[in-house]
Amino acid sequence: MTMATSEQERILVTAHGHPDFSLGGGEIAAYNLYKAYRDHAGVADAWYLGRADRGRGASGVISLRRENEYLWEQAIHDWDRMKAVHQESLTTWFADLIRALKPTIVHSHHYAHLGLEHLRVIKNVDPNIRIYMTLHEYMAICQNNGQMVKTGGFRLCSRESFDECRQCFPHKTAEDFWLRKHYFQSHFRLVDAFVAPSEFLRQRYIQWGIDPEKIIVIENGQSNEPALPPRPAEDGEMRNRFAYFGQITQFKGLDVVLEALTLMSKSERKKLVVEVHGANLEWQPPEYQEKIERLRKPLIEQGVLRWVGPYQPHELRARMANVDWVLIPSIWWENSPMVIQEAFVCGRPLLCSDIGGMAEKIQDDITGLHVNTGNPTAWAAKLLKAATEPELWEKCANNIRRPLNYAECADVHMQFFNTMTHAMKAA
Amino acid sequence: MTQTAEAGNDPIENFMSTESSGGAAFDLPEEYGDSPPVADTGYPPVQTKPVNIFDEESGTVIKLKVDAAIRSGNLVLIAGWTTGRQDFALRANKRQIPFRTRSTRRDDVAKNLGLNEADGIGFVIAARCDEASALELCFKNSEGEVVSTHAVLCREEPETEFAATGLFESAIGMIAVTMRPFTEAWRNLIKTVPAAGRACPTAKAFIEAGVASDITGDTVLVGWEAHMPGTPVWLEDQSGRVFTLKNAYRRFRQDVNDVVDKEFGHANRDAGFIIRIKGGGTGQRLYLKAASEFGIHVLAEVVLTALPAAPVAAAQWLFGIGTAMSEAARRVSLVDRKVLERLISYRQEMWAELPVKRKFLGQALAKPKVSVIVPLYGRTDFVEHQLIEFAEDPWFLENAELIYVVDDPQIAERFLNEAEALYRIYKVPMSWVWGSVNRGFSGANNLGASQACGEHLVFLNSDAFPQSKGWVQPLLHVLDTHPDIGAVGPRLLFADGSLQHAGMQFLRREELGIWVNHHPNMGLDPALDPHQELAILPSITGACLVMRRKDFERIGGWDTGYLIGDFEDSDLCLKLRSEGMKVAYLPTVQLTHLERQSFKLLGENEFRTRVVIYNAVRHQERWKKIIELPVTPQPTLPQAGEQA
Repeated sequence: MTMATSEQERILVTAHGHPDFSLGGGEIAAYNLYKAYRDHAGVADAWYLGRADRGRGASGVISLRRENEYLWEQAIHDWDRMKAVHQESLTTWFADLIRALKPTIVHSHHYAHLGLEHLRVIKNVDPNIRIYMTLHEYMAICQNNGQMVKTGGFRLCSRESFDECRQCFPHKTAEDFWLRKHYFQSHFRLVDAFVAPSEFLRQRYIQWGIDPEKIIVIENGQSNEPALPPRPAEDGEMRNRFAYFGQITQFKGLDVVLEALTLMSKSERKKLVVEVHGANLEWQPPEYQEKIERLRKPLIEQGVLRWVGPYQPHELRARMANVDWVLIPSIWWENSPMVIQEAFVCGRPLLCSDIGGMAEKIQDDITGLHVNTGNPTAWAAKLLKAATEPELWEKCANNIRRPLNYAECADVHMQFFNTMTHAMKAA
Repeated sequence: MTQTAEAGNDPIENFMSTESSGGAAFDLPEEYGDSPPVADTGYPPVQTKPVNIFDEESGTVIKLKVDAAIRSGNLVLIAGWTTGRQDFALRANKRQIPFRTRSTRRDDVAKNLGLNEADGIGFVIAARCDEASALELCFKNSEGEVVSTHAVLCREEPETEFAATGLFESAIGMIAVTMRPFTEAWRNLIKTVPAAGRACPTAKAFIEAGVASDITGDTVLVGWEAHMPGTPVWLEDQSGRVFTLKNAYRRFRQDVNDVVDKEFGHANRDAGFIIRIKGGGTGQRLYLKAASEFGIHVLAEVVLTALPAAPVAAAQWLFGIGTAMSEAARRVSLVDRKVLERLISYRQEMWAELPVKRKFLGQALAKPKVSVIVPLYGRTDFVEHQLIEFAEDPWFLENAELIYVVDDPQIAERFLNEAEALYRIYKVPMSWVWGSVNRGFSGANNLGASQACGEHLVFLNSDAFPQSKGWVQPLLHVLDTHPDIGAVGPRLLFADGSLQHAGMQFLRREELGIWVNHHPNMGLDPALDPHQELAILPSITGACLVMRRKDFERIGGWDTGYLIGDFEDSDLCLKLRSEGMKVAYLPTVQLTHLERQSFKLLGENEFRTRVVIYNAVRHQERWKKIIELPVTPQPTLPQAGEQA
């Protein structure tokens, strides 16, 4: 059924990057959603605006990447308050774009690199444009890279307050944090509703001050591809092949898994294989690189560890085909890691840390196993359990429900937008 | 033949009897021509010609003559000669009075009498004697008993020109010490007294530092001096102007005491001094002098260096002179206030001539109900946070003239650019004013007010942020419905939501001798504020203060005489109250006030405290009576329209 043209939405999706140039989960999710909006019956037209660095600094220039896709050369100079470097383009070329496209909705996926001012500019151009924002991390709440991990270590942070935040940043004052929160909250007031990819993140933002009526959980959409068949295994062979996918950073906890393997006895190590499909180790602090090197060397020699290396997105399925379980040992909360949804699409259960978005998306003993965060002994035990317990893998794999595909995800968003619009009109 | 004038005898009678006994006992030689004939002078005998006195102890006849007797003010000077012992007593109205005496040389007398020795013949007597009284010069014997008395009649001499001449010249030091010091006559005399050429036996001093301000003509000296009673001590500049130490700040100094205690005893009790005089100049010498019988002594001197012209720099120099904190207020009253007050006002005289730039962003309102004046110093990032709130306030956009007063040369250029970008995004019409120099909180507010055209004025700190829209109207309403209220301010909360300002009181800090402004109930939950409705209070903060423009202009605006800043808000409130107006607090309007410490930009804590003391002294010297009024709890006022 085609909707009346007047009811169709015109949606501009904005993000802090374009997947052609940067492969973060946030911009990939945004871009996929944009494409799905274009195909959605309720959408008359959709556009994508991604921040880009074209090698000439924050020139403020907006350019056409391909039909309906724009790039904006913008940057942040004040990360405390997300203030844009190129102020003039906010009220000139960016405003021109809004005026010209006449969107009914701007779906913002991130303000990093773009700044927060552009939200106000949208409302200045036309206060009837609805702004919906998907929150991918805790940047508004936490000045430590938006991770809610305390500075100077890996202690997790459960709540912000001016005095607690000041302890993480001793050179700042409590008043500095009031100013930051005032700035973020006043700009978030311009946003009509929020989307959180996990309930965990949603609760954090409610605690911070977003109205619970205005924030909903919608998981990122995934590709339509069918689940993979189980890894071909010979009779009697256990489901004992594990894989780590993704960037290798200190927060991702790969070293915890390597330590777990190190703790095992030689005979235990013969019972499983762990593959590392990882990237960017060379960008990590030298001490961390040394630690990983020190741990992995004997494990690779023994054959329990295989260092496979980075992969392109299109290679992921092939790599997943060859494994039974996916590992996500992060030592921080995680919001909605892409790898979890990708694993579910492929039909692969996961072992994860028992906190945050991970513990929410994966149900213990149902679609995978929870492991005590950062605890090598616990990891060793759960790895062996997963590798040796009969029928466990099958049970978990069967419990996996296929995630929303892109079109379904767009549809859920559209329903949400519809609901919010009616609620606004009723108010 | 001995002539004795007994106590109680009339000198004229004596004179007469001398005459009637057959003439003078002694014939005047021709050379004494300047002594007029006895019958015409009207002067007592001893002044007309030498009298003979029989000295029983030596069995000889002693001659005594008074050549000049002068009264100048309360100074009595007698010059004469005698061939006997110079053992005198001096009586005024029959009572002995203290005097100083000095032997002088009389060649003329020696020659006339054929004496070998001219020294020790003459004498000069100097005494202080207030009464217009009968004076008698008495001879004493070796046992100290008065054996002959001679009336002396003084000639009135208003000027002291006499002192430089003839008979009195060699005793001028003694005269200088005897005269009441620091009178005009004394000052004139001092000019003629020669230098003593030796150390002063009765006074000691040292000048440790001296600065002069060529702008105000003040000089400040730091040092110490101790002197025995009766020794005049004074300061003198290069042009000979003389200054007493009467108005100096004095204090006990242990270090000085250790050195001079034996010599001076309790006379050195408050040897330390800090004094401000109107005299001297940079590069000039300033002397600390004393007078003794030997003449004028220079006890200490200093070459004056320049006191910085900038008030803060001058204050740093002055406050660097060690004085205990508990003494600082007393010292400020005597020394620092006078110097700094003038430096501050001098610096501000030039404000009127400085260019003032103003730029409008957006459409200015033709007849704004209120002008909101916000001074900017140090930081400009607060402005955006204020605009965030103003942008959501329709009444504000329609009725308020927003004026940012840039008060810091270091942010001027940057803010001018930022203002453009902020206006384009927030669309709040506003203007900024830049007055070329830093003027301080009061000066900046006054500058903003001078540019404002609203009927009412809201003075707002840059780090104060309304908590909801429509915050101005209730404050104006208070003024519109209470003509006796001159100023009203809202409740202010810290970032954590606790009370930052719920009105101000005056609090006595006895250990510093000052009254300070105090925020009662600071830090508490706002629900615990004893005032939940409009209340009349002793004063309110300048962080958010609302007035009628006509009241503001009538009282002359903010006082700019405080050093750096502080007390300006209570000063404004007290100006209103001294006219009979009231100051009000409206807790139903709330703003967040981050209350950054602008003093952090200055540094030294000790300096800061002394600045507070300076300002407190200035404040309480102006407003002592009102400050000391006891604070009686006021009933909360009825809102307009309610029953009282």
